[in-house]
Amino acid sequence: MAILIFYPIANAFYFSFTDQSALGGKSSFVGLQTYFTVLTNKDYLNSILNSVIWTLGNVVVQTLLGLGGALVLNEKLKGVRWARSLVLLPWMVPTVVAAIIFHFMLSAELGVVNYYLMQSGIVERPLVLLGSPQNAMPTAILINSWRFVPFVIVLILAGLKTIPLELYEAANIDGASSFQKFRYLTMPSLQPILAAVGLIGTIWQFNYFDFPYLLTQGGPGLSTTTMPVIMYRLVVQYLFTSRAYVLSVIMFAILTVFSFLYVRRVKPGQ
Amino acid sequence: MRPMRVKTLLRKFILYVSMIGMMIVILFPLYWMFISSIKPVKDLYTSYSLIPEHVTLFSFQQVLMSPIVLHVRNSTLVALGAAALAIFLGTLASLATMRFKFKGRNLFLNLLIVSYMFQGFLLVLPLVDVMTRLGLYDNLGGLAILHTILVMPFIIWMLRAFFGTIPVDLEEAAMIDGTSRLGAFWRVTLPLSAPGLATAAIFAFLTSWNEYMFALVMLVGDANRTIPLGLAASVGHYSIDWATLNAGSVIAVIPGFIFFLLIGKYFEAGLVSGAVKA
Repeated sequence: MAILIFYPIANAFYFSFTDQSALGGKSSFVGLQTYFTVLTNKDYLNSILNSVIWTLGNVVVQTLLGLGGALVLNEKLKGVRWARSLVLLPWMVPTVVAAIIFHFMLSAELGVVNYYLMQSGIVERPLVLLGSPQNAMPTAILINSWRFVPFVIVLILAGLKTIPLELYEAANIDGASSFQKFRYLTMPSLQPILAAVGLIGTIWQFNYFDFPYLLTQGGPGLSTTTMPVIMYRLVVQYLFTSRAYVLSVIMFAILTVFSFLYVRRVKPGQ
Repeated sequence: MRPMRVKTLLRKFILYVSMIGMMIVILFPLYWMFISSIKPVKDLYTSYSLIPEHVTLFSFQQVLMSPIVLHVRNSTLVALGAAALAIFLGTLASLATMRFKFKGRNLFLNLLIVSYMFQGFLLVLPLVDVMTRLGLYDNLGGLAILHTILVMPFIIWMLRAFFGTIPVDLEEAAMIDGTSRLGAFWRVTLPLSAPGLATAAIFAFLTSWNEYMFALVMLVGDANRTIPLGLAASVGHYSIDWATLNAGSVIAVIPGFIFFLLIGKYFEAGLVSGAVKA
């Protein structure tokens, strides 16, 4: 176990200081040279920025929608038990299939979404979503959220169940408004779970390869090329293996610093 | 009292609208995929009615003649292998960490959580490198081992939770009656935790069945493709055969949905306990 996890990480550090390429052959030690190449290249810096946007966008959208969804599903409504069990379905869908469905539905010429938007007169021309550099990233974030929000909802619902009902009854007797109950009772009780969602979400999304790659192959242009996508390209297409290792060391460093600061400030699990 | 009632009615109304809206957003894409797979090909780009006008199994017949059949077989083999391996190792590991006290036990359990957090692309290059050195590159067995590694932390935490619900006294009673420790575990605890084992096995199976990234980097030949790879490969081409893709997608989600119906509840509980501990 330790060998399987930690040997590779040490290995990645070592290779980031060499000029290893996937073509094989002897690699030699080149010190920080590869780091210098990577950090002065516009495309690599752009992928770091894209990764940050992708991660932040996903975590913010998913936490807000997850919180809203969980609050709705926590109410006593007709059919809410059905809704609560069906909500997890997208989580069971393979990422590839989710990418295919949304490609099909959002297609500018043939997609059902554009068809109904045009029919109802909301838009005059079909929306180009995944095919345009401006829209691709937000669209990809929303599609990814379709698959992840259910998971967040289930977690927050579990958190809401742990808040004792007596607290709400006491608040009612004191004449608290709905907003006050939410602000001073629900939110503080959910704090540990929301903190965990933020931490897990950030780490997962930062490392997430499937959606940015499957939906748009990182395009159009480089508009959705996040760090995992460019690393994949470097290894499989351009054969600059050592640059991919440099990027993986940078990713590792960013995540470690983030987790450290986050755990110190937000203190999840308290 | 009147304004109060209007307010509660309005609140109920907003809640119902949000719940129904949420369900539509969640379910419509899946519904659309399903009805697109049973539409005739000529209706695919012309008929947008929410209920299909004509129904045919043509797309599924196409799928049966395509390489997707081979991909389903590959995926099944890998997923079964990963599930079996994960359950076997997971049972031993959770038994060891529950019944014995040893130095570094808590460190081991905490490391499991840490490794679970550092999943994703960060692990792909090094792990595939290890597999290449073991001669398991482009090998379905190698992929099954990778998928096992991927699910192990979660499986161990899940199994510990399930075994924890069965009193140790039962095992101890069996040991007093003369069975060995493993024998007691095998005859007493294991049968009692069958539902837990099934849940963990299904979790491992599904993770492997749905997994794309490791398969993409590990497998190069057409013959070894798993179903996510096979489906993704047909998206990139210039003319996309949406009919076959939709039908293939329906086939790809079937195991997930069946298992969801069977064990959705346990699965949810497992997810929550796993994530809260992490």
